[in-house]
Amino acid sequence: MQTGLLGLIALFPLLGALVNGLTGGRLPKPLVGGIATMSMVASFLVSIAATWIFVSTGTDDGHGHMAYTPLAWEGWTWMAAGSLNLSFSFAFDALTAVMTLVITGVGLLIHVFSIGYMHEDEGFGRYFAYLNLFVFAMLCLVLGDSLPVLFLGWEGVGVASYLLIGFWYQENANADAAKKAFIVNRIGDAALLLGMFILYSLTGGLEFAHINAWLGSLSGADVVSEGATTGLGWVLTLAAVLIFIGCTGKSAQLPLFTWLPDAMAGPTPVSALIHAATMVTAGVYLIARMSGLFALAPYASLLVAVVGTATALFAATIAATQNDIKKVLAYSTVSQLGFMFAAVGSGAFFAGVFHLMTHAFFKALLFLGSGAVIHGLEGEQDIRKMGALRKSMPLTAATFLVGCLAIAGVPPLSGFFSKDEILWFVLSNSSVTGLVGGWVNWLLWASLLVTAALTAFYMFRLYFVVFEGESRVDAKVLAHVHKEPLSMALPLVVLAGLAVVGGFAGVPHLLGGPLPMWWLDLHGWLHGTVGHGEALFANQFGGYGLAWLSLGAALASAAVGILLARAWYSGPSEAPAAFAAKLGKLYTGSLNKWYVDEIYDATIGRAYRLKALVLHRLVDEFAIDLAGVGGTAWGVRFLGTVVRQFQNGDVQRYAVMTVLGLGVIVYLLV
Amino acid sequence: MSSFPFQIPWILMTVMSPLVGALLLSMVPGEHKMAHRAVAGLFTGISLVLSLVMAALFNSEATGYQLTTLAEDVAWIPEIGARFTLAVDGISLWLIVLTTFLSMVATVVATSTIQDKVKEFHVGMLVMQAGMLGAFTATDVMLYFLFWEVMLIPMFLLIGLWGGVNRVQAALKFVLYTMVGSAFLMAAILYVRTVGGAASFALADMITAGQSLGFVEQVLVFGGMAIAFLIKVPLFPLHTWSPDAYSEAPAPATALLSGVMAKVGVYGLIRFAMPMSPDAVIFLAPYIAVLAVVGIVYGALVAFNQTEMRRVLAYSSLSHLGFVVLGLMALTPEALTGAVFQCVAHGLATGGLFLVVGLLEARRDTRTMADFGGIARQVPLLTTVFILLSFASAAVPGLVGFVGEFLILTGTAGSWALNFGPITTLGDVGFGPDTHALLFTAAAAIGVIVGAVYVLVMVQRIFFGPVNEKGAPVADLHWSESSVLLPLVLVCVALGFFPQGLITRITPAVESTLQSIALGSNEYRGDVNAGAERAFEQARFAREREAGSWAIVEELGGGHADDHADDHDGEAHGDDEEAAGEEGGH
Repeated sequence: MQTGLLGLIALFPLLGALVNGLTGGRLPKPLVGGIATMSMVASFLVSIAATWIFVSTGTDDGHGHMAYTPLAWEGWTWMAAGSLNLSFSFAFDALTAVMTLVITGVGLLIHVFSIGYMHEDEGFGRYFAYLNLFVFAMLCLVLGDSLPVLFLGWEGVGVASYLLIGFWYQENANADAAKKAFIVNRIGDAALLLGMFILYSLTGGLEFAHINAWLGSLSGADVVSEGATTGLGWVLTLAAVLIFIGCTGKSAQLPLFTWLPDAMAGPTPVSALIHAATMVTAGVYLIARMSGLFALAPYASLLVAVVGTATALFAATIAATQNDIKKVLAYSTVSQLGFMFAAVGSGAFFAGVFHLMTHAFFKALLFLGSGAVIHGLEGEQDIRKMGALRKSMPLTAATFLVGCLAIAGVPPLSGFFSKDEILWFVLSNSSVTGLVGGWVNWLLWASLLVTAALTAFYMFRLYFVVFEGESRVDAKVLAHVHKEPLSMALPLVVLAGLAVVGGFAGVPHLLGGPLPMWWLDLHGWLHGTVGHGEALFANQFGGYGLAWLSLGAALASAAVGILLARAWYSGPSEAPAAFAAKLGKLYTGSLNKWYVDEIYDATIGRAYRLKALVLHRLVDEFAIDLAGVGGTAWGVRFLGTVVRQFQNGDVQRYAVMTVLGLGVIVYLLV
Repeated sequence: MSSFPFQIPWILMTVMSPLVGALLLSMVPGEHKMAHRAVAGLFTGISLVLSLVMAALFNSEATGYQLTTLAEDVAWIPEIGARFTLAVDGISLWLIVLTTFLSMVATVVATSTIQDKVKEFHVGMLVMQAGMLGAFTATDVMLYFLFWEVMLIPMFLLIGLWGGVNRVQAALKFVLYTMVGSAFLMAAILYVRTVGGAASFALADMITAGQSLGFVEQVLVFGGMAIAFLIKVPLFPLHTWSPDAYSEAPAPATALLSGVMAKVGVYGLIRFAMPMSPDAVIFLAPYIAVLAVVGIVYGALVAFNQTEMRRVLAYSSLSHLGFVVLGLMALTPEALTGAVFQCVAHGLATGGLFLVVGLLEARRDTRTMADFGGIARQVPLLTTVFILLSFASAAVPGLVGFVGEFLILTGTAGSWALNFGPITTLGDVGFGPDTHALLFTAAAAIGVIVGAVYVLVMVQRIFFGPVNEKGAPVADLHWSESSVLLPLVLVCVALGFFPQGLITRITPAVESTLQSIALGSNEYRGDVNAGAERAFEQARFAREREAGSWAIVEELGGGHADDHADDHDGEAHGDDEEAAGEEGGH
């Protein structure tokens, strides 16, 4: 169904960015914030309207699911040459609806929060221009009906992220972090482009509908039985892996995750919006969007699941020891994104998107809470200089606690439902069992379980150290800790509410779900988009016994993590230090983020700089100039002599002809 | 045009107005700098307006040359069969508009950067413009050669007279490279004219004659022309004149040198070298493509290591023009269209960057990045312009650079021309990407990564970090500077979202060029590419035919391919091939 509404969704933030960008911050601050926020309100309302229209197309498909007709907006012909015919168009299905509502809804709250958070910054106008630009690009990413339009948003959010990480560009460290984020993302982007070109050469089109129809016409069984390592299966696997490499860049997975912790150099609301709730989840979105491809490339899916699980565990081990409140949350984000990839890699596209949504709620909440703390303590980020803040910032403490409970997976908060769903699908994914063996299911499941325990531990460590126990805040700062203004309190409360109830959108069968409202049946709702891909994975159902086991283990791991954190950090305790000493190198390794940055710099970074230098010296200045053309005076003279030998007459002829020619032109003119 | 009593020679007027301007300017007496600048600006402006009129009159449906009037097709040197013929088609149209537009911007920016010998400077610039415009419009090969030289001579002078410390060496290098190229070009032209037996120097005759030559002769002819053109582009490893010339020439001249003059080389390849020697192109394509991708990665790597701003841009140009050459060699309509578009994109983005860098250099009288730092706060507008142009040059989608690179890479991935041997599809599927073509695409994609590195490093060193206190505060853009730079940036953004207006006019001309190459190739495909898998060709060409794009389908579909019907085992994937053939068409 055609509707121009889709264009409007993205247009409002673009207009906001243009107004605030072109006036260069000369407008009064309330107006700047008002324009930016109202553009988000408008975009959010239009998104709701579009969702409403989309839902109203629903008819029962006779198999227990509702079938919806995607909305479409035909923009304009973007690039058409040869057999390429690409238009700049948007499409809107259930997956897009979820993403759009999260982006505009959470985005709106974070805009409101930013008004309070940034009110003293001289770059207020610039900030909101960038923030609106980001939302515009992010909406292009999820609304685009083809890979190139998605890619426009994909790189566009990268640019906005670059500008916002380096927002306080006077510090070289911030500019470095911005640069790193962009370059690391570009590594992934190049792979994504390549995957895109393979799909184009293969299918002759770049629109998602076209590619999925083409893939759908292949029989999955044929491709797989022919062997995923030869023929078409191999090509599809290659394309899928390349696309996944693109996702590892944007969504900060191993081995391209290192930019995200550094990205915390940006203002905290930016971290909440871009580096937690929306942009970094783009990779999960893309894999869900390409579910048809990944379903036909089981080895690629296995890779996704393994990388996701490994990242989840790896990042969690780092998060457990960090002392910077934002760094903990950053590694936690990397870890939670790993959960999502483990889900989509196991064919549980729905579970991945579900966790994406709940994570957007509670992680945005946690980041904004940390922002309120940092704002209150005038820029302090070290948790060792906090403590007992519940007394001075009760609202922040309460909402932060809700976020911790949600991410730890305490029922019935949102994180419980989505995380349990992932664990269960990872355990029961028969595709992996078929490819390698059942032990992989158990291994992935156990790793995620350990990660869940670690998650509960480091989040409650954070909570207890920051908000409970003894105050270690500098006395001068403590004297005027300011409470959250309304603009900051309101988003915290709303997000806390969503973090509590968000999970009811996907209550599993095991617990009597789904609830009998269309908007509380996320799985059924997404069926039209990812159902085909999910069906190809043919999850074996191990019976309720196994499902209950998974559920019980998840609850137990959360409890272990929380209780341990409570025992160690709710009051003064020697235990953590003693344990750290016992761990020895393991502890210092975790504290130093396993030295990944240092290793990268010493290998790839060093090789890069060396190669650039050597190439220039060797090839340009020596080989070509000296031996070939003569960059030195000697070379020039020598070559000049040589060339002059057989070119003497020519030069004269050129001169004569040039003069003659000029004469002719003059003659013609007169 | 019938409403006019006579035909207006728009092309001639566009080409000649800078020349008239140069003549008049040389007669303006005295030391009135502003008067000199005004005259130069006026005639550059006239040329710009005329070229825009031309673009408006251009018929996007037609494939051939257009807009030639009686005054633009006259006898020139009848003794040798050279005519004065000017014409425009989709390949040249936007290069002409780029020339006039960028010249206008450069002329205005020169007000801030050139204070010395202003009159002579602008005379040189105007003559150079006329030469470049003539080169883009001449359809007589001898006339092209004339304009080619006309455009180069002022450049020597601009480098030699206005350059910096190393100007003599830079100018010498430029002269040497160019003269060597010109000699080869002239030799190749004369060979086609005499041995090839061309009826005249008219392009159509020359192409017919060139295509009648044998394979080895074609390789020689193509080689001769390619050396001349690829030096100008420049292609690795013929580029070492460019960093010197680009950094020694006055900034506005550098903008034209890199932004436009390099494209005269690209244009020469598409217009002359490739159609005249199709067998040679098809044979040499993968080898030249290797140089192109080496240049893409090499240029980007070396750019990272430079300390002077203009040298960064010089190596970045090497990298970006590697994409253009790769696009030419892919020999697909997408890639070739992308290559022409990328010429325009690079001219706008890198030409613009050279101008802004020139402004920075003039403001602090230094060339090295280390002398800047943290000035974003002082010059917010200049910073914004610079960053936008940098992102455009780094091919960020939504800006002009992405369109060209995307089309080139798309066309390269789907190319049949880049395999060193018979076409081998990925995974032996029988359709989809050719393995070698995909490797080329992958290598070029690395350029996308490293291309971001030096751009961001440069932006950071100049604008971010703590304020460098060594130099005086830098002034932001003057209104006269923004009056041309802001439109330039606006065009870069607009073309990122709405490039189709250009593309529709480029594609027909590109497709007829490809058709000429495909139909003109004699024996070569029959001999060496005989083993090319039939299934692949059918699947691909069926798609092409359905898209109504390319006449080569008829030529090859019914030609050699049939002889090798059962060359390979097509059984295993038979069904998939059919599916792809059908699905691919939608």
